[in-house]
Amino acid sequence: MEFLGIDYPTLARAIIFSNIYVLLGLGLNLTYITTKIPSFAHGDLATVGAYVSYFTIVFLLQPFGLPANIYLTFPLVALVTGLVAVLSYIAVFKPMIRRGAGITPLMIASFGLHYVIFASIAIVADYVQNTFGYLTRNILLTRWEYIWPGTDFLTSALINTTIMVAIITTLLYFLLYKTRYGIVMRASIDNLYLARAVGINVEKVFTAAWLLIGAVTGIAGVYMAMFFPMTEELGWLRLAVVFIVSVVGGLSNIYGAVLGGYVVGLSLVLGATYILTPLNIPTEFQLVIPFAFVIVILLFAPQGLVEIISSLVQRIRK
Amino acid sequence: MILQIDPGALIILFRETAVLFAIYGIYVLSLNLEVGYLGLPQFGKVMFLALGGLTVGGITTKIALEIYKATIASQLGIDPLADIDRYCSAYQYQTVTIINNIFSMSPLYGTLFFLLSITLAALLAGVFGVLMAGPALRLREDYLGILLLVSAETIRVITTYTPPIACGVFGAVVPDPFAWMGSYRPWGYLAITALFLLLTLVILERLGNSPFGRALRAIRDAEVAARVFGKDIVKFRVRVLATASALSGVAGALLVFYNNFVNMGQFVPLYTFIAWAMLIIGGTGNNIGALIGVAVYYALERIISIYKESIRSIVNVDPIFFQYIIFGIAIILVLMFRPQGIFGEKPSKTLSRNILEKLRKEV
Repeated sequence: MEFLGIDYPTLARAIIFSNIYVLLGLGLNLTYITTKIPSFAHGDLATVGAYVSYFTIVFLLQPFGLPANIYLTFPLVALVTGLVAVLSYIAVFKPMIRRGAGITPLMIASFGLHYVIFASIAIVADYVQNTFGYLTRNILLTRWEYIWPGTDFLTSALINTTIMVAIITTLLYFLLYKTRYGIVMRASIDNLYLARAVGINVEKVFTAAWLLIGAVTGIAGVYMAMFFPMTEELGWLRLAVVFIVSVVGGLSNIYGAVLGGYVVGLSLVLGATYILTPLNIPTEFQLVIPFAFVIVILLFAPQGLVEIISSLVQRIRK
Repeated sequence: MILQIDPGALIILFRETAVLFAIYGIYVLSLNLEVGYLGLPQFGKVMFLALGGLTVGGITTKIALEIYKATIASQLGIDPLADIDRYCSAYQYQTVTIINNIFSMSPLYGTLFFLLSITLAALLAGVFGVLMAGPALRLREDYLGILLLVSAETIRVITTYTPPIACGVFGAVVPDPFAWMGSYRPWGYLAITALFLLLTLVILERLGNSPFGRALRAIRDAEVAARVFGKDIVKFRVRVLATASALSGVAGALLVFYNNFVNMGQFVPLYTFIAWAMLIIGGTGNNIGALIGVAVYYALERIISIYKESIRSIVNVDPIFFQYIIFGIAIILVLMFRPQGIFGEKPSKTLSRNILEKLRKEV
């Protein structure tokens, strides 16, 4: 079966990857908005989510005879990863921002945080493997996946990631534009000092934002572990791509991640299948496509695609 | 719990650590020039290390193959450069052994090969540094950091998966220009890397205490003011990037000659951040502090590796991860409580010490 000359399994894969990158990018953009830096520890939050999901299945669901379904683990994943994120904000970023640290020191601190989270995950994984005998490296969570009968591409991951992106984007929209708390949040995001002057507890707002960052990123991590082998480097290895997603869309706009995620995800998978393979270039080169893309964007329009489009729309309206 | 260590093994451990210390010393010192003096968020540092490695593994090795083509053809009956894929998968070790035999006969050819490699590595990395100065002039800190990181990844991906460059994922074997030293080779190589480290330190110390270095600090601290006083900021950034990149290219070449092997896939972003960790812990803007940071890193690494098995018997976890945690926490604490590093920046040597103290009292 083909659609516009693209076969469905490849298209499905491209959409799933885009959805995963959208979820990761949403978290990164929120991080950028609250701390003014793209955090190097962002990928590790996704890894935390993946491992929490796996350990929940192994230790909580299977011993009690419950169905080993990764979607049952989502509440716990969101909670634990959210707490890890909040903890990292309260312990590292908040005190440093209060002391007036600049962008570069904050980025380096986020890298230190990456070391800590990364190594902690590895230690837990090692410990579980050596003590309980469960395999904790190079696992794929896809074995709990459901494939629609009669097709080979309509998997639960495709449907779920798409629904998840739609839900989270809509929720964010309602949270930010339709609720009182959203007004407070947008005020803090737009102008920190003014918001503080009006009497908004900006740090409290940002703590809530970090809970959201952790929850969304953790769930994205579970989806990641369905397509990439799960190791402690799961998120860290793909951090460069997540950075690209955010930059392509626009770092300081929450919805930039949605646009950037689809641009990068589609160009990665479709580029590998329809540009590189016919030319006999190894598919590992697919990473170069978004890399080249982002270098061009950064050099000529660092504000990102969303800003470019919105300024174009405004110009047309005039 | 102290393990019994054989003194001979201890000396070898010390020697190997010292070589790595010297190579990473050059690398971190060059990072210090960019970060400590100019305040550039250099998150693509590994790119220049990779370019140094690429020069040796991909360019000068091929030059050597071309020069000794006749000898190789007479002994193995092949032309190594005719079919690069076959060379990489089948003949690498044999041909490099032949070149090593030639180098072990004549110190002159070996040294010439080494100097050519180092010069080319410095040139290539320096040119790339100048190219990177373009974006460094126009982008904000965070975007620039991302751009450098992504550029480094791009170079890694392209060089790893293009076999003609440095045998791709196989990795390229590199001729040993110091084969003539025989059994003294490890000690000789230690002397050479130490010499390079010393040279780098002298150059950077002189640079830092010259009008050039003071202008850099002025640009870092107050860019507008420096511009008002007529400093051409563009020129300074280009020069700093070129110098620092060339130095890390040299470090990359030295690292490859230490291993006698290069695999372009090894140059992952982690190497950028290890350098940052060393620099932050030691102290930015202070060359000696940066070197102390390197020393602290390697001391901790070696101690953990010596006690590896006894740590494992207690907690049954790979001890390397404890090292990561210690470094992560150290970086965060240093940045939080002593942002200038443990050994912070010293006032530049413009005036003699007592005059400076007197001035400070008056203020």
